Amino acid sequence: MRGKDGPAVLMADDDVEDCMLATEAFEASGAAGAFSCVKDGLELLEVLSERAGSVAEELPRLILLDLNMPRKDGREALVEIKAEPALKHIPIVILTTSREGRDMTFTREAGANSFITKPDTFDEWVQIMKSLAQRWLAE
Amino acid sequence: MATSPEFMIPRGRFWQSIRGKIVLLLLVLLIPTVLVQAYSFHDQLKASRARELQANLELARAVAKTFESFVQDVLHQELAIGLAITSSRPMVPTDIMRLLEKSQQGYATVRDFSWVEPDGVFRHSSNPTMLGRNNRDRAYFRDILSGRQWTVGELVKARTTGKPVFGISRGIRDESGVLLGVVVATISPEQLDSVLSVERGKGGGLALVDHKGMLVYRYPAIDVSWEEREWLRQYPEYVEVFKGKEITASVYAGYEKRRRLVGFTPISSIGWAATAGRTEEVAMAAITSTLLTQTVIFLVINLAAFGVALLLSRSISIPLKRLRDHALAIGRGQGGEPAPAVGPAELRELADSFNSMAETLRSRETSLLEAQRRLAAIMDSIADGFYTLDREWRFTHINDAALAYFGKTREEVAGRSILDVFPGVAGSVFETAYRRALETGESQYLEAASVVTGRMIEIFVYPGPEHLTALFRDISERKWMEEELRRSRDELERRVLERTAELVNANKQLGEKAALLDLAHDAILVRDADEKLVFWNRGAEETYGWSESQALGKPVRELLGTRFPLPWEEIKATLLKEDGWEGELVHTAEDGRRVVVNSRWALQRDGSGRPVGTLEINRDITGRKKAEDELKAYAERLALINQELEEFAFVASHDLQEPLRKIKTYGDLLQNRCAPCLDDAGLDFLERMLRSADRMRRLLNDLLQYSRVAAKQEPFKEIQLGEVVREAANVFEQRAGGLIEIRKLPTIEADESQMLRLFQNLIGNALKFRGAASPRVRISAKCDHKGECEIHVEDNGIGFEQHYAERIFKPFQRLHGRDEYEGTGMGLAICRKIVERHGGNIRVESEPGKGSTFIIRLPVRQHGPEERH
Repeated sequence: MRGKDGPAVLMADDDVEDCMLATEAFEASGAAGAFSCVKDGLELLEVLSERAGSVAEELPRLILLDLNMPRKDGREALVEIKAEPALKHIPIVILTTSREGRDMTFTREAGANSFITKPDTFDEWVQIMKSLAQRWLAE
Repeated sequence: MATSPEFMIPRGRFWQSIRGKIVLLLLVLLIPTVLVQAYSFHDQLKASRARELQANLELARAVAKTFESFVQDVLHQELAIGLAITSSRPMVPTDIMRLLEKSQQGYATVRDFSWVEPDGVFRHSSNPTMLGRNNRDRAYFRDILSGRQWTVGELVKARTTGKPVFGISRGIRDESGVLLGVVVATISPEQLDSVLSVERGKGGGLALVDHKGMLVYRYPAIDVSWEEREWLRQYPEYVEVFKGKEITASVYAGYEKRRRLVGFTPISSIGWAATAGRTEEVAMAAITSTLLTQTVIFLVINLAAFGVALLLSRSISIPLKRLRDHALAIGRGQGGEPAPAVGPAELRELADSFNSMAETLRSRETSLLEAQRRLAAIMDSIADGFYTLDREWRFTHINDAALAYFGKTREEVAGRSILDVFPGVAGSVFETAYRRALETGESQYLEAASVVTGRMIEIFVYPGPEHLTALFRDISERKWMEEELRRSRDELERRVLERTAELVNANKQLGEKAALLDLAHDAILVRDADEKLVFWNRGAEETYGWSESQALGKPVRELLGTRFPLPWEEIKATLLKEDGWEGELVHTAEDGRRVVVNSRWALQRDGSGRPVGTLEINRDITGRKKAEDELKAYAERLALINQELEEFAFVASHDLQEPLRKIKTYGDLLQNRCAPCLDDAGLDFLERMLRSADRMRRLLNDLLQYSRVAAKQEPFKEIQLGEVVREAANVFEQRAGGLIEIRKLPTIEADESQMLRLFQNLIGNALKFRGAASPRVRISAKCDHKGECEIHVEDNGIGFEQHYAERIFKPFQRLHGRDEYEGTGMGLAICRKIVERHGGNIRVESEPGKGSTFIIRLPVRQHGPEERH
């Protein structure tokens, strides 16, 4: 975790390589703010509830959520965040390898803001981060 | 109520309805009453009017009398005056004057009395203004001169005042008749009131008219001009009156603009007329108001009576209407509630008898329907086939047996012509029989091979007025039995002929037969009526292990531990009914082996038909059965393995994608970030690594597709192949620019996304392996009557040797190096998999340099739920 104010983007993904790629791509995109990773849904919820309890400004402005994770997967985490009044306003973008229609339907109905399949090239990663920053982090 | 049937009776038919009749009846009663009442009122009016007229006439007469006596009175006074003036002792003028004045004072009605000399000059008068006037030219004076004793003059305007006056004049003569003078009394008509006035009620009046028809006097007075006094001109009735007639009439009085009832009477002694009258309106007011009241009461009573009668009539018309509605409902076949028994007694009786009639009708209908249903059930239950055709050869009825025999459903044949359902009937002996039956009206009998099943049937065709009835049964068995019977008979005859020889060789033959039975491998056994074994051949010994001596006399079921496929009672019933049975039994041999046999039974009966035993021939099928079961288990295991394999391939190819993606992305990052740190060799290695990763990804993708054909399937639905192929071709037309010709393609049941992939792969293939010429692909199809379609995908590409035709459908098989044509070698394998999943097959015909034709056979319909292999 970087910066005292907490990250602008918080990514939950058990895949360390993807986390690295996303961080690299976020920096390469030139977007402002910090980017941070947690490794599963449980950790994500711990971080979020801790911040919500202390200083609300430290809550992330965007959550990137993988679906298939150990301990607590993205679907459960999504449902729990959206059920928590202090957290439900944070936009959540699903970033996964899945292309399953039922995953898209489920997450949309559960309140996810967008659904992105992980890209094959680094250029695409950068492109995705750029548009996410424009859409969700712009003042 | 607007939709009530009552109002549905057309207007013209209202008088035909019961309500119409009742209204008519009431009108017939009411109209005469009204007419009689009207006549009576009219009569009363007339009588009342006649009374009024008569009263007026009498009053007029009284007026005439009074006026006559007044005139006579004045004349008497004049005579007295005349005699005094002409007496032998002549009077001095002063005395004459006094006499005249005195006379005038005695008569209030007389304005003045005057003495006129025979020359017409007024000599003396109670009215000084008259003196010296000459009245010789006046008519009355001339009358007197010409000899009349007295006259009453016409109404004239007074010379002095202009007011209307008239005179009563009397001539005074000596004994010899010489006129000595005339006494004239001038009378102002308005003064006549004191003589004539008769006080009458409102509107009453009386009048005097002089002989010229001028109004002299009117009571009460009316304000009229001189011209308006000319009553003769206004009231022509006076013409008759002056002829001496009395008249009563209703006349229009111009001065008051009303009609008056008037009595006219002539005053014949003077030539005048007297009238009395009353305004008609006033005179009739009393009677009119009485009659009006009566009329109103009468009309109110009558209308009330009419209304009440109509209301009462509803107690007849409404029950009748209900009864009619009910009858109509029953006519339409809607039974429902019985008709309500309300209204007059006759209607209640009618409703009751109607209900009982409806009940009878209903019960008859029910029993008719029941009979029909029973008949249909009987028809359906008879074992023989039965159907009826109408004049157009259409099926109107067909029983279950016939349907089962023809292998059709009721929906397939109902209402359709037999010639359509079974085209083979046309031109067959059956058609001839149907036609002959219709033409001759005689029933036909026929034995022939059915055009549907090819088996021998016998058929009876009965013509009816509107239809043909056909009854048929399969007689192939019977024919066979007849044949058998014939053969047996021949055999019997032969045997009779050979009887002697047979008898001689009886023992030997018997021995041979027993030996034959023993030779058979089948187990042949006979059990008696108590199910105890009485025969046990060598085959039985071999099959089950018990020797003949061990088996005979034992209850067969206990010995063999028989397990039946059906309850024993059912098998026994079949055996008794059909004298035979056939089925699979499981026995236990002496050594405990399970023996599966195909068992055929034949019941033996004695001369009286009583069952005496059963012949049982059992063929051991344990081995075959075992092989079958093993095969089945193997196939099931194979299917399971196959499925697991496919699922494995799916999961594997899916999961293998993930690390590959990382290799690619990180390689990509490496290429982006670290290119400066690598030398040319390093960059080349990286390039090769990325290309391999790319190829790996394509392979995995295709493998995923391949496994998906079975693992991720959508349900079959009806699709238009033409549209699917066009969609597949679109991708390539935009890219490769070849000519793709799509002929007419059928509609089939299939998985749409898989069909799209199939044709994408085939068209892609055809374009990829193009020759020197511009690529052309033609897709065409033809379907046969067995419900299969053959689709050809034909190209003008490079083609290949026919002996590769099978190999190219195998996964990862390629005929060319990757440098020449890219690809994974999975495309056609996927194609085959898709076609096979649809229950079809795919093959290819090709020749190097001449192009290839892929031939796909697909069924039009997919049968039943899909099985996974």
